[in-house]
Amino acid sequence: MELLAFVLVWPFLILALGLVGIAAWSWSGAFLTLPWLWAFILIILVWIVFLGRARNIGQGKSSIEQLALVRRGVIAISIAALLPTFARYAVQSLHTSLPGVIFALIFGFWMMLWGMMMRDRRMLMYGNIIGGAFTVLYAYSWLWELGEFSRIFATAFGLAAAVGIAFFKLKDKLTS
Amino acid sequence: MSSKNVFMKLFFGGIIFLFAVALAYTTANYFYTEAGPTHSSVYWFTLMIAGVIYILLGVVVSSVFPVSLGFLFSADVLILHTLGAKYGEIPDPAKTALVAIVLIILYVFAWKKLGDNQSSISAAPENVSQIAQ
Repeated sequence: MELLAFVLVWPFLILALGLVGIAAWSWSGAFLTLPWLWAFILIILVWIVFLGRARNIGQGKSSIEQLALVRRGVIAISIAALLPTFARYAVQSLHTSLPGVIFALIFGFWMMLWGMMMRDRRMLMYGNIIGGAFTVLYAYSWLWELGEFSRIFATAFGLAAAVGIAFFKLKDKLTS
Repeated sequence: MSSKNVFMKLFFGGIIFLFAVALAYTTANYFYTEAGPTHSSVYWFTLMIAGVIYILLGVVVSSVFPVSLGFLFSADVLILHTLGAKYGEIPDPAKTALVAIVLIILYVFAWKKLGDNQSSISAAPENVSQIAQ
């Protein structure tokens, strides 16, 4: 079983990355034309490049270790891209109704929170936080379109989530 | 994986990949020609079936890395080509399920195999070098 997982990993990662590319291509009509999204992607890319340079990622490592770093990067990028893709298709499957968008919002926040709480799996942490953030932005863009009630819900949920995180997760840091 | 006979492994893996892809496309073309131009879905269906068969073959012969990877990478090409051509026609619930399955597999692999404290080589099984030789 372990041998099978070892052989399957790269073909599967390429398949996952290909799916990300196909999904992104199919999005290009609407979502990727939004200027704020491009700004967000640019900020994340610059951040990743600076982080890589500051920490000298890959320097002094063997080729096998560098390959493992690439593998981790591919997994993080795939998760970060597939989370909002999943949320989008789920919302469309529910005919862009309010319950569907609320599901996407809760799903995005949950993934971000899960990423923040990770300790020893950094690639999952980055993938979850970035993918969750995209999902939340996507859900908010729809909530804003759906009228006054959904806007009230969106702002109330954001406030409740921020207060919840501040109290339960960051209380020590915020009071010190 | 052992570094012995690297050229031979790459060569045979490449040959198997190329022949597998070529076989799938020629077969799909044949069925498409037989069915007539109004049945274009036959072409994509054949490619998808070939992709699934190659995945099964790759799993069955997983102890011989070049052969297995040749089949699996050719399955990648066929499945991604079919998905790329027919993605717009797939209904949204099916797309949701597809993305969910890929995400779940990614999470399971990352969780079990790629923790920060695990070394990069630990992703490979212990007997892998013996088998590769």
